[in-house]
Amino acid sequence: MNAERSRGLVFDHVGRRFGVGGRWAALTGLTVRCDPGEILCLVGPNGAGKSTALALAAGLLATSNGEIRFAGGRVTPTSPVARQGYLAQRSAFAPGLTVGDVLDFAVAARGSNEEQRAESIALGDLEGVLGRRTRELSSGWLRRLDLAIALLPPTDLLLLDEPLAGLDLATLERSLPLLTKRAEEGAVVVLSSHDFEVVDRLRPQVAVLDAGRLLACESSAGVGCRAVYGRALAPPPAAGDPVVAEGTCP
Amino acid sequence: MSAIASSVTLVIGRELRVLQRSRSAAATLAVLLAVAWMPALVLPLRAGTLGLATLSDAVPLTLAIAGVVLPLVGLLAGAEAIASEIDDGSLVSVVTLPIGRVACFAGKWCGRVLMTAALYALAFGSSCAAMAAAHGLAGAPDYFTVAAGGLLLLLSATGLGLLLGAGAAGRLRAFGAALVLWLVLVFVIDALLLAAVVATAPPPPASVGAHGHTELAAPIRRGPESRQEDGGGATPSPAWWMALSPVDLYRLTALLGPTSRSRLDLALGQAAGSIPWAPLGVGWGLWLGLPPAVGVWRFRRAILR
Repeated sequence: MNAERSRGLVFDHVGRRFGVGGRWAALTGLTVRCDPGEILCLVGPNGAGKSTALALAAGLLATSNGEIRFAGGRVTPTSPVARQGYLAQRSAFAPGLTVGDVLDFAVAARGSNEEQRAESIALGDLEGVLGRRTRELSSGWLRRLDLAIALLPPTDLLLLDEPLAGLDLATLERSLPLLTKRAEEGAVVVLSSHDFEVVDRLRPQVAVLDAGRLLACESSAGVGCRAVYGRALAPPPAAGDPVVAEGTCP
Repeated sequence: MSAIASSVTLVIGRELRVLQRSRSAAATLAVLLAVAWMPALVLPLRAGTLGLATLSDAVPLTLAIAGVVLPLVGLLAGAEAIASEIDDGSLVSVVTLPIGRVACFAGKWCGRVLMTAALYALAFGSSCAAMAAAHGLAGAPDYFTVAAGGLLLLLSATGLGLLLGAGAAGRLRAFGAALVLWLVLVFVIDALLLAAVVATAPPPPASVGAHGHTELAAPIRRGPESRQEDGGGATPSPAWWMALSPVDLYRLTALLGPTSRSRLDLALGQAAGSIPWAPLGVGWGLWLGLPPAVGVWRFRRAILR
């Protein structure tokens, strides 16, 4: 892998441990790459390390070993990617703020224009709730708002932790073309999902994780995410195996 | 405007909007109003009358109450500012924007300081105005000195609270740490300083006890030169030791009021002009500036999920 020269996102033997003395490994030796214009989907069972990998790439956590690079520069909590859109698994906003406050804050911070703001409002169909406080909204509405902010341009890197969970069908149908559009515009898009059929429509590279390790990384084109996932996880890896596969997306 | 300045301004605006609609700001205002108004209302009641105290009479009780309550208010409000947003995950939506953690912390600190100062001005301004309207402006400079020192104390405690919240694993731990620090600042350091002052004081003159605690304050007011004359050697001025705690620094600041100064000078037979400006300046500078500086360093490494 020619990680050093990649203009995209590179996980280079990344590990992250938690707990006293780092006794619990959430991620071990993850090496994977996603170039601009590509969509990488992290799949795997609960506890596989998908959310940890995304939080590390967003600069919310520091790696325990290895390093993450974006466009050649190292990503750390003290130097995150400036133009990134991050969608956490759980959407949360300061409860006293209105939807309009939150959106305008993001628009100002990101330097988006009025057209881009309107596009985000349309994506989440947020026009009718702009004046409502976030604490009054259901989790579905919060998810829409969070997704609208994450996809608000300009962004070079999109990190989306289960972006399709909790969305209604209409928002889902508006979101998928926008994700493809952001990738076509040159952004690196990394997401995690359990919804293989929907993700297949994005034709992503698929990285299969289990117990913090990368089992496989290949294109879903022609075969689908479920087939890639099934091949990687069956038969299940023996406990205590070293890194089963260390892949890079083609 | 530079990128970081505009980011800080954005976060200040967000913080002020959050505070305008939060219960914690309302609770802070309620406590500050109680601290500011209690001396004004309680002193006449003790004398068996209804009405308001004079500004001069309110000074000692204000000093006593504020020295205990303001650090607690500042520490808890500061700890809540960041720890609660780390806890509920809402800070993630800020730091993953092109804001940066330094600007995020700086903006939250500035926003808190502005809001706290505004609430404090409202509470103490209203009580001061009411007492002045009832009895005139006698004692206003002393009251203003105590109130200004109280504001410095409150802001330094707020910075310390933010520092505790910046790296704490959860809101409860941040509040716990704030309570422990409050106990240390208000009681433990005070007790240790008192013991140190008593232990290092020169042999008492014949008039011991005649002026209450003023003998203990004598070396503070007279400075190192006079202590040399006392045979005190190279022992650092107790004023420097008092700078170890913002609460004691507040009490030292209250001595700057003209009435306190003249009473002390009368008691000690000293001319005015021996105010320990260096410990006051350095002490307040460090207590106001150091906590946010360390807080930024801590927040840059904090785990946010």
